[in-house]
Amino acid sequence: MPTRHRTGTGNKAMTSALNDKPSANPATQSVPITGELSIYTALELKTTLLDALHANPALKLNLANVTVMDGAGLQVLVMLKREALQLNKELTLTQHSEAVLRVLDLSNMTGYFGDPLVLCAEASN
Amino acid sequence: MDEQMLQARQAFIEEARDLLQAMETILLQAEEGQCDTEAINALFRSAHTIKGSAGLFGLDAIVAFTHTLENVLENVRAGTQTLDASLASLLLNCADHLGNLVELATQLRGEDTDITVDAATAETGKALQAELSRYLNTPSPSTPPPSSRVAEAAPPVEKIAKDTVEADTWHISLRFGTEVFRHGMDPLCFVSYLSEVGELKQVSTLIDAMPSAAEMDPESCYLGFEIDLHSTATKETIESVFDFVREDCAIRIIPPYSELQTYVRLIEELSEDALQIGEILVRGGALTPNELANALAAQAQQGEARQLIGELLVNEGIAAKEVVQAALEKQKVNTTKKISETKFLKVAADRLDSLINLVGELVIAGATTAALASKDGNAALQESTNVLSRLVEEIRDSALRMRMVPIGETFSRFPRVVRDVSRELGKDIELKISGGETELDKSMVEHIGDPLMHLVRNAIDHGIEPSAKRIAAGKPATGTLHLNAFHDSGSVVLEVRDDGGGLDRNRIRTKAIERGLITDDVVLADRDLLRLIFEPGFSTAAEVTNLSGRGVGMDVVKRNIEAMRGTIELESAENVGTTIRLRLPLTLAIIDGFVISVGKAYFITPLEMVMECLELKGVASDSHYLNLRGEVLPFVRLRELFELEGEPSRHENVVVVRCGGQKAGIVVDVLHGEAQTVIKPLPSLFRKLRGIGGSTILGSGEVALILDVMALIELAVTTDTRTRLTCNE
Repeated sequence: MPTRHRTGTGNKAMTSALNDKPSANPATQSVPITGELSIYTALELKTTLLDALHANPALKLNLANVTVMDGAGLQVLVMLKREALQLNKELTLTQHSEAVLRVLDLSNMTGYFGDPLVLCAEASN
Repeated sequence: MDEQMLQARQAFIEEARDLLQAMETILLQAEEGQCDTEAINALFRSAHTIKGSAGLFGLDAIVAFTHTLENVLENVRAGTQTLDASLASLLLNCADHLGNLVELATQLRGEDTDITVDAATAETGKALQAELSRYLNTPSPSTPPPSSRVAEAAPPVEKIAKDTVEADTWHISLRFGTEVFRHGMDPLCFVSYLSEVGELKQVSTLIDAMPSAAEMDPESCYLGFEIDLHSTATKETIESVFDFVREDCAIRIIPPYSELQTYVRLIEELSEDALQIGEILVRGGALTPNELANALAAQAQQGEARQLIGELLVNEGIAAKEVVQAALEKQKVNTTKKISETKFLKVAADRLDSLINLVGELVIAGATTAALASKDGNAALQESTNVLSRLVEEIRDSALRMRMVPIGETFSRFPRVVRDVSRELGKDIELKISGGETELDKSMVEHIGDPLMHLVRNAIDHGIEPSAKRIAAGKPATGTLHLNAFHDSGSVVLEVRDDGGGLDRNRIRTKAIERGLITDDVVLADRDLLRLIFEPGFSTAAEVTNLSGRGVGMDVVKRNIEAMRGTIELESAENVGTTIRLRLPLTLAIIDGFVISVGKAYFITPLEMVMECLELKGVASDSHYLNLRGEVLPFVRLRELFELEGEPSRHENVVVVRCGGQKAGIVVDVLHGEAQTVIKPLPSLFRKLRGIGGSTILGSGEVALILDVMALIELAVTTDTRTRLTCNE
C-alpha cells in the first residue's frame, strides 16, 4: 500500500545561473537542474525553464543532479517538450539521474523525449 | 400515416433516387472493368440503405427485391464473387427495376402503406431475382453460408463469436483528477505499486489532458495511464491499490478474457480519441488488431453508422497496423461526412423563386431611389444610395448563386444513355465528359436535359458511323462523343461533339428541296444550308430508327433553346465530325445591363457582351459597316431597324457587342451606362419580335426593351452581306 509520498521536505531545486557551461552548439543553452524535480519545485521550474526555452533556439537540460522526481516533475518536462516542438526548438535531456530514469522507465515516456540515455555513475547519488 | 411520416417518405424517395444514380455510375464503370473496393463498398452501402429505409416505410416490395440484390453485392464485397461485365449489366437492370419501384412509391397516397406493383413490373422483378439467385446458389467453395454478416466476411470468427478477447492480462485505465498533487499524492507511486501485485506488461502515459504551456498549472495533475498487468491477484486486491485516490481518479479495471463489449465501453467512455486508445490497447496486448476493429465497429454501430461494421470487416486480414488505421480512417470519414452534411440546407425551390422575385423588385426600387437621389442633388443621400445599391447588387448575386447548380448532374445521365443506345445500334462509342463543374441556373438545368438528350441520341444514331465504315474511312473503330461545358462572356456554352461522318450537305439540300423548304435554284451559304436541319419536319436519316430520325427533333431542340434566350450553333466537317454548341445565358432572372437610347426609346444590352463604345464618325449614312482598327465591323442602326421616329442625333454612338465569336456594332443616340436589369419576359404577343429578348423597368420608371444581341449580330452580318452583294453587282 503506497503511503502519502511526500512528507514535505520542501527543499527547492536550484537552477544555477544560465550559460555556465559552454556547449557544442553555440546556440544551445545548457541548464542544469539540481535537487528536486517535483511538485514542490514544479511552479518555479515551469517559469524558469519556459523562459530559458523562449530565449534560446535550443535548450539542453542537465539532469545529473536531480535527486527526486515525481509525476509533477514529469509534467513539467512534458510541457517543455511540447512547447519546444511547437516552437520548432530543440530540447535535449542529458545526464539523466537515477531518479529521472526511474520515472521515465515507469511511465514509459523515454521514447516520448527521444533522448539517448546514458547511465552516469556520478549521477546515481 | 401522419404528415411527418409522409415527409420522411418523400425524403426517402429522393435519397433512393440519388443512391440509384450513384449505383448506376459505379456499375457503368464496373462494366468497363474499372471498379475498386471503395466503389464496391459504396454499391453495397447504397443497396443496404435503400433496403433499410424502405423497410422503415413498410415498402415491402422494395425490401424483398433489394434483399436479393444486397446478398449478391455482399458476396461481391467479400470477394467470393467477381463483379464482371455480365454481372454489372444484370445489376444495372436491377437498379433500373428498383428505380421503377421507387417511382411507384411516389404515386402513393397518404394512407397507402405499400406500393402496388403492376403485373409487368412484378414479372421483371421475378426474372431479375431469378437471375440474381443464380449468383447466390453457386458460391465458390471458400464461401461460408451467408447467414450472418460477421461470419461471412471475417474468417477469424471463433474469438469474435465468443465475444471475449484473447488477452490474459488485466487492463487498467486511470485518469487522475487535477487535485491529486495538492492532496499530496503522486500518480506514479500507484503505478509503481501495481508492479508489486503483478508484472507490468505495458504502461502508456497519457498527457493529452495537459493544456498549452501558458495555461498549464504545474501543480495540477493532467496524467492518465493505460496499463496492462499480468497478475494472479483478485480484482479486490488490484482495486485496493487505488484506495487513496478513489475520489481523485477515474479508475477502470478490466479483468483478463473480458468481453469485447467491455473494451468498447472503455473506448467510448474515455475522452481521448479512439485511435489513440485503440493503439495503446493493441500495443499493450489487451486487444488484438482484429478485436480492436470489431470493437470500433461495434462502437460505431451503437452510434448511427450501421454499415460501418461491414466496411471494417472487409479490411480485416490485412496487417495489424493497417487494420487499426483502416478502421479509424473509416470512422473519421464518417465523422467528417456528418459534418459536411450539415453544411447543406434543403430549400423548397418556390421559396427561392419568391426570394429572387423580391430581389428583382428591390433592384428596381433601388434604382428608382438612386435616380431620385441624383436628381435631388443631395450628396449625403446619394452616397447612402450608392452604398445601398452596392448591397443590393451583392444580395442579387448571392441570391442568384443559390440557384446555380453544376451541369455535371445533367451530364451524369448520359453515360447510361450512350451505353444503351450504342449497344442497341451495335456501335462502339466512348463518351467523354468535361466541364461538369460549370454552373448554370437551376431552372435552365431542368429545361436543358431533353434538348441535350436529343442531340446526344442524334449524334450516336446519325453522327457516328458503324465501326466498319469508320475503319474504311481510316478512323479509329471506336467513335467518340464529347460533352463539354464552359463559361464564355456571360453565357454558358454546352457542346455536343462527335467524330462521326459530319453532315451530308448534298442530302440536306436534296431533302430541303423535297420538303419544299427551298427551291432548287437557291444558292445558300454553307452556314445557312446547315441551319436547314433546324427547320420543322426536317430529317436526313436514310432510315427511321426507333431512336431518332422521325423528323421531329432539331426544330424542337432549337425552339427549346431559344425559349431560354439561348442560341444554337452548328459546325460540321465531312468525315471529321459535327459539333453542336448551345449557348445559354447564365441566368434567367437578373443581369447587369448597359442602358442605351434612341430618341425616347430605351434599350438594354447585357453588359457582358459589350466590348467597347465609340462615336460613329465618317461613315456614309447608308453604310452598314465601319472600319474598326483595320477590321470590318458590320453594324445595325436601331432607329432604322425598329423604325423609330425622330432624326438621328448629331453624335451617334456605336456599341460594339460580341457574342459567340462574332462582333457587330449597334448604333444608338445616347449611352446611359450600367444598370441592374430584372428581366421580365415579353407577353406572347411580342414573342416573335426579332432582336428583342425581354423587357425591364428602369429606375426612372421607364420601360426598356432588352436587346437580343445574338439576333442583332446576325442581322448586322446578313445586312452586311447583302450590302456587299449589291456593291459587287
